Amino acid sequence: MQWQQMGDHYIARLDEGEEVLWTLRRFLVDRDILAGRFMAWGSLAALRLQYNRTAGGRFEPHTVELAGPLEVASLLGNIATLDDEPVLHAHVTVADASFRTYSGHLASATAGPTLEVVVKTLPRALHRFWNDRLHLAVLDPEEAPEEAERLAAWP
Amino acid sequence: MQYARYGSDYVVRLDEGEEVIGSLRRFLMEHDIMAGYFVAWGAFSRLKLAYYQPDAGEYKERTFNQQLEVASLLGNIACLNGEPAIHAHLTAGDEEFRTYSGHLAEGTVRPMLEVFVTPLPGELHRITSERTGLAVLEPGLAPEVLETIGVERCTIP
Repeated sequence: MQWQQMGDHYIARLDEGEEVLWTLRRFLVDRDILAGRFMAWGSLAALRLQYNRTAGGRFEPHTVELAGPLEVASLLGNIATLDDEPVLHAHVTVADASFRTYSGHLASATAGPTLEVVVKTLPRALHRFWNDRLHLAVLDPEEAPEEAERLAAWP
Repeated sequence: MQYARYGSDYVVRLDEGEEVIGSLRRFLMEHDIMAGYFVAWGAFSRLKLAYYQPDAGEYKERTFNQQLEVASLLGNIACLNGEPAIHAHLTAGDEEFRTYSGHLAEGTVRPMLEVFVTPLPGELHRITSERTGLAVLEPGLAPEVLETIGVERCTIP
């Protein structure tokens, strides 16, 4: 992956064979990015899409493997922390050779010849917490006690 | 086309009959926007989508001569051969709400397309790969490297 910082944004390019979520997470850890949003487009060599079925108030993930090459029309995601580690939540729309579209939650993906990513960082940490009832890591934008204290202590 | 600046972003409206890539590129050149990204939605009367076939090393194209709604259109702006170049992908829906997605090759606007452009500070380059012929995004190249390989820079006022 090749990247460049531009103000509060980063522009990155992933290359063929790179695992998308793993590569981006490693980048976020290296750069100490704890909150933000990103969008990406380009191509994928392989994709595992997830769809959550509801069963008795819980969400049961079901995944489907799509073989590449696939064009990524939109890959939109956010960056937050779960147990002090950055985690990505992303949804994706891709097209096959007949331009037919498939969409869903991005479970895993391998980059094709090129995947271009725009990351916008946010100025303080954003947290997720595991919710046993929903069986999901829920985004909790108001729950940031340390940052709130730190910001309050600023002159 | 109409546009106005809102903070660091530009809001642009393209009108019926405008060719999306040509109109946007002209707008970027007139405003010296050489790096950034944009999101857009609206509709096209004609659309050409492309799908890259890595094994063949070429794009397969399909033209849609019908009214299509843009569900999402995402793109970036980088400097290629001294001028701003656009790379955008989109999803568009037909009258049955069925969607088609791919690389944006051409699009004729009808009745309009709303574009929000976020310029980014600094230089961002694409360089044409001799191997594939594709204009590859090259983030993070140092100015000395750009100088050495003789990359044509975009003039930023």
